[in-house]
Amino acid sequence: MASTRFDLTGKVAVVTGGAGILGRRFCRGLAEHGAQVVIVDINEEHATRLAADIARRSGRHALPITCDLRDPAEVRRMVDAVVAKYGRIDVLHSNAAGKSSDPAAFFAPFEEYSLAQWREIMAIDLDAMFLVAQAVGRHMVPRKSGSVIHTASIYGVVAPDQRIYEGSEYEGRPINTPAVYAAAKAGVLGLTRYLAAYWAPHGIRVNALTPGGVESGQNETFQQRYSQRVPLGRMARPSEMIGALVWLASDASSYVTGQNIVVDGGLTAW
Amino acid sequence: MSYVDPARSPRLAELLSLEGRAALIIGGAGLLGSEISFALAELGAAVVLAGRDGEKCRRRAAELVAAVPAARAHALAIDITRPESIRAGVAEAARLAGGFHILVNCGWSGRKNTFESISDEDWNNDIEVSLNGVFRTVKAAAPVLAERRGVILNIASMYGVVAPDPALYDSTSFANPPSYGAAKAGVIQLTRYLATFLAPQGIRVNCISPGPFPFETTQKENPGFIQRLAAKNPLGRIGRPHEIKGVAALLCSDASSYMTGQNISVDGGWTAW
Repeated sequence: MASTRFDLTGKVAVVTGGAGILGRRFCRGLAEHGAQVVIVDINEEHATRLAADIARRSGRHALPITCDLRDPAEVRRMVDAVVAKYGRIDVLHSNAAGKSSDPAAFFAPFEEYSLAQWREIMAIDLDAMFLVAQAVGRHMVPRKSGSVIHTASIYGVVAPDQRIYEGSEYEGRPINTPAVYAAAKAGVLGLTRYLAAYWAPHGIRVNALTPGGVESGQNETFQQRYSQRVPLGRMARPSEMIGALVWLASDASSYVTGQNIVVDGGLTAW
Repeated sequence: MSYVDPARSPRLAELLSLEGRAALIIGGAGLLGSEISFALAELGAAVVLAGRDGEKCRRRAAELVAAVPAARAHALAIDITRPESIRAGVAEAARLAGGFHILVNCGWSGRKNTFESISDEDWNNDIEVSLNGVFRTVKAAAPVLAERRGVILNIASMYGVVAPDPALYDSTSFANPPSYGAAKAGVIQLTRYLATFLAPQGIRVNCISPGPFPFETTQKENPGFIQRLAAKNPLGRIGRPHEIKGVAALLCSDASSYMTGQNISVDGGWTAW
């Protein structure tokens, strides 16, 4: 009964950043609920391995596609490849976000942040959302249906409390949330609402999913400091995003559009 | 750690299951409350449908048992404007269902009014039912919910988020009163308060803001109004009552275990522009 309410059987779902920490959970979750998943990632090896893993576990073929989403031509090729193979795209989960090639520049203090680094991150965190929505939308509009989900962030809604970064590390390196990320994710929310109203006459729903901080190997200090900011007192498990995602992707949310669904343990409630 | 092996994460079907749980649904026989009662029962919860009209709740509970295989449904008369009725009702619901894990606040009654037509009495009645009733019910039910790390789902409204456009309403007899939005905005904020205050007890509290879901009688009496509502909305139509079921399933189950203090709009995009 439960699975029929959030059923994605027969739906073609494209997930960008599909092989990342959250992306691979999203792909598995969508596949488990019946979707034909297309894993779009810049890392070919990770995408291919995930596809094999999904096929082994769910018995469902998943299509890996390598794509640099910063390049409009590559985005078009990716979308054309999906449509050529499956004939349509029912669900777009635009989830890719940028990792910098230069961590020192990425985590630099705001006063010293370079425009080059700002643009490098914007190119993937916001510009690519535009490019992918445009390329996929061209196929969804004539079909008069589709569900688009953008991964946003709590830092597109509220500012980070800088105190949580004191002594915090990820993979042995001090971390913070740079302003470009917050600005890009706030932009994602604007794009989400714009497209929700713009494509509503064509039966396409557009919503955002905002995960709170997810356990993914941060050091103990960060986990503690972050958790103290959260009413539920802990970081999220990646699996806790799946319920909201599958609901948004499925017909169970048929009257929901232009919304930002925040899964943050209450962080933005106080 | 859990994050490295998603293969061992619980499946969504398990997370959505409400087997072994019980729910008290205030307003459980109403337009949207009925859909929520059905949704929770379909997922395996024993449901207690409560409202001022106990007979209406009994009829709806009987329909539910007839329609949903293996459903367990009870009916209960509760008047949320009377503290003693709430206390007795909460105790009775706990007895009927063997305690409960889910509280849904979906009670409503009130008159149509504009700012000019509304009397002190009507204003007070709306705040009494739509805001004070939620406060009292949560206060009475919180100890029961705390025993089970339960969940609270409040039903607010798009008019707790944005104001009605007076041009939609061609007469006082269809107008949305100012007291309604004020009470519903209060419910949204109370949701956030309760989310942070009850988090240490493991109780999650969320809110749904439905968009235009007019009663069937309104649809028959005033088709022009329905057309104006549809035209105002990005999706170009009013909501179908069953479209509330998905979000109720999400918010009342473990599928939303990291969600608290949120207001989820099911409004066809009404508040997005």
